[in-house]
Amino acid sequence: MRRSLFILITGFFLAVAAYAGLYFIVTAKYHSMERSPEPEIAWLKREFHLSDTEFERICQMHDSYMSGCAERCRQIDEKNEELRKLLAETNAVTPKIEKALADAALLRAECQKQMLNHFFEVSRTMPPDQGGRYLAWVQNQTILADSHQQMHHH
Amino acid sequence: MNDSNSKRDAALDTMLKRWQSEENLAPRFEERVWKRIAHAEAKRPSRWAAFWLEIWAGLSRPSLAAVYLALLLLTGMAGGYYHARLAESHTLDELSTRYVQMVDPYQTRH
Repeated sequence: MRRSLFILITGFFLAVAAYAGLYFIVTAKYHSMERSPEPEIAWLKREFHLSDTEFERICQMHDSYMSGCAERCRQIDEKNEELRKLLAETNAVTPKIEKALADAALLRAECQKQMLNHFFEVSRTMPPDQGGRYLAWVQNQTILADSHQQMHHH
Repeated sequence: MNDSNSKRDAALDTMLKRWQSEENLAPRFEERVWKRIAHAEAKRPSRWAAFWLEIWAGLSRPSLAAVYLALLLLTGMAGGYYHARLAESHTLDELSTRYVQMVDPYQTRH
């Protein structure tokens, strides 16, 4: 009786230990990726099989792009705020609103241009097949996703 | 040996045939006997309980204990691996979304 109980309990702990052990072994590399300074870029390295040299170059490109991106984000926020105020003041499309919309569209086009330049640059740094895959994926997630959403809303 | 046994059985058989109880049976004796039998049968464990009792007893046997431990070890490993793969897929999806949100100012949460 006591032996059966011992076997039963041992089995339970063995199952828990096997579960936890395998879980931590398999997820260890992803946990270390998440703990890296820029996990999103670490993900890029893993996903597109980048060498350390390619990864370093892409990190530099990314940092340079992000510094310009912060400024564009500030401009977008500013433009959105301006548009929000104008829309709150009226119930018709005034010339001021028209101008704010045109400015916002210009800003958007500029952002998309910079973004595309960055994507092309990054893709050229990757091995050709991975670069092509990256470009197709990132365009679908950004520029093409936007166009699709716009078409859907129309 | 067998001959002597069969002779004894034949003697017992003859005696039993001759035997007659002189005492009267208690009233509703037969009914009470059947009730006791039914009660004893009701107390018997169900099929499932009997099955588990058998497994429980079997755990003390080394061969069955080894099978049980191996089965739990494999179940634990399979569960751990399956959940790790789910977590991995979730992490990768999340990181790819975060990358897109990082590089696309129109998907960044302002």
